[in-house]
Amino acid sequence: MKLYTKLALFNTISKALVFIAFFSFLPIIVKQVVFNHTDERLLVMKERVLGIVNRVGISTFIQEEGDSSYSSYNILKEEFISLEPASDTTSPFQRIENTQRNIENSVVDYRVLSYVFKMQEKNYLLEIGKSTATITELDQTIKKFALYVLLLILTITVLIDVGYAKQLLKPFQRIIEKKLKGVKHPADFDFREIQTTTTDFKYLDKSINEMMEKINAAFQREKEITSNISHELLTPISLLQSRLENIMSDPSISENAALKVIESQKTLVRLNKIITAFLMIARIENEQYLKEEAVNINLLINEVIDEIEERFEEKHIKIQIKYDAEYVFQQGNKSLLFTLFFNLINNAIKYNVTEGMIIIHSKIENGKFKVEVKDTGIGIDAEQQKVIFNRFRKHQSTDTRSYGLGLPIVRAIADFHGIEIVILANQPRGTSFVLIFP
Amino acid sequence: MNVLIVEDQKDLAGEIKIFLEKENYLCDLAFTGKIASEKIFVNNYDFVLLDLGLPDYEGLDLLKESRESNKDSSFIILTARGDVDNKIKGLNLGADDYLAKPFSLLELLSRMNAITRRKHGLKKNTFEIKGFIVDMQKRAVYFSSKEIPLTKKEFDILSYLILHKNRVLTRVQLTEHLWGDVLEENYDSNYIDVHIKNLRKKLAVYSSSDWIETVRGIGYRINS
Repeated sequence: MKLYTKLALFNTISKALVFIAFFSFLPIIVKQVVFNHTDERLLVMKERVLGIVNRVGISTFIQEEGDSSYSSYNILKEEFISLEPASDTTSPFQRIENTQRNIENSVVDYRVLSYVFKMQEKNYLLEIGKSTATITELDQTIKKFALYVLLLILTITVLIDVGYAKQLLKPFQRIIEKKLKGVKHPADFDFREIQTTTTDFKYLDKSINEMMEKINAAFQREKEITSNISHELLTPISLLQSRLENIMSDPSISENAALKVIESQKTLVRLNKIITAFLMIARIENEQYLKEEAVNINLLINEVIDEIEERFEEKHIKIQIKYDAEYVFQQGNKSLLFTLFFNLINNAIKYNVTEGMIIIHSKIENGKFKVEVKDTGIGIDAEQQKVIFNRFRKHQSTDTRSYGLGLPIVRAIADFHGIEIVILANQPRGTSFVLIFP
Repeated sequence: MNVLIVEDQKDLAGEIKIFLEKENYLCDLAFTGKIASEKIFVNNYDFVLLDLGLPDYEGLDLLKESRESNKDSSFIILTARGDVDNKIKGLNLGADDYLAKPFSLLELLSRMNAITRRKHGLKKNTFEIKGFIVDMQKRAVYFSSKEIPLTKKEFDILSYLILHKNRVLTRVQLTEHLWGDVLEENYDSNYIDVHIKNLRKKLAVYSSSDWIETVRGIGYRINS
């Protein structure tokens, strides 16, 4: 999961939790607020009623004889006011409570203010009530309103949070895209600073740059080393080769000496090829080769076969080619890929039996382009398969047969191009190399 | 023709000089970039053989400035550094050819001849040997105006032998010419024999092909 998704998710959940908590406390709060409000109203009404009573006299509301009392309701029974004499023993008090009243045969919940007061040596009880039905209604309206507002706020803040987090993490995204994902070779690295005001990202960017500089320096050193080794080793070989060629072109040279010079030339060429092979592997691993040619693999295989046709002929080996699929390697190095197939097919000839057979088959399998090179040669056992691509194989194995540098080169070129190599036993005999293209 | 050999390895420069002088080239030597630069400025050379790995001079810079002052000279880069991009850079800077060390002197001579032919537009591109007509331009061989189908390699061998006729070409020299760019360390120069055998067989259908002479243990030669 991406960082900003995680942040947004966390934000949403935490806010939702806070809102749920708030919402579960809301009825209590609302009730408290509404009752407080109602109570204040009741007290105000009490003061106004007492004012009227003081002005017009208590007798207007209470008949002298008997114990009849005064009460007034509005039509919808939302409020009532009653005034009645109270027993003289009651001392004056005031309280507000929720009670039920039976009015005209219906029970109604009220919030009632009861007030006992003394007037003209007599105790009177004043009661002012307000129906709680209206209070509950108000409570629900407030809740509904609060719910909508909270949901709206939640949505807006989550959207803002996501947007902000995304904006905030943009430099981070750019660091990943530009400095980590897009870099295939240290030389491709873009050392420009990523614009950000976040110090953490600045630090990260700087650290990656510094690391890359070190890698770059190491790569550069390696490049210089291969170049120097190349120069130091190949210059004397070049001198020897030229000298031998000059000796050979001297007409006075005896036949015996000429044959010896020829042998020396061959040895020298072999030495040169070994050094060149080592240097090639080093250069591939140092990524000194370009990969920018589109290479049609089947056509390339044809070219390779043209190049070594005489070797098939010399060993009377039959070749069978089956192209069931076409593939163009988009960003490859043609000369390296040529070397890969040359070595692979050449190996199949070299380790084949006289009048053997080589089958080259290109196909699509599991959505991937594959080239299989099968021979009917001596085969490679499981133990050897593990070390066959290792250029220092001889130090690790008791096997005296040398496969030389051909297969290590194949491996280096394949790795460079992201091609996978699988070795299978070819039934009933021989080996099958399968190249799986990316 | 005048050749300047720019090479800090004195022994190697000497060997190249010996070989080219036998081919009637006049050779001048420069062991450092500074001397080379002066010599190129003063003299007119037909060929400059330039080693890129000079101790005192960046080879490509020398090539660039020499190219400007000496528009008629042909430059061949010789290098053992083998940097992949150097070849492309060198050719882009106007070098006529590029040879990686170690190279065969015969190959160097062939490249020089090819450049000369190209420069002077030599018309003579067909050779006649015992009734066989070899057309270098079309890469075809005829006998009494009938074309003999040869493979690419067979024609390469035949034309290389013709261009260096009356000289014994060793298997190593022929192999270097044919497979010089192919990297293979288990090197066997006897594959040449397979091609020669096929070539002779194809030619013998029309007329005797014994003018392709085998020099036992060494190589092949065409006499004319």
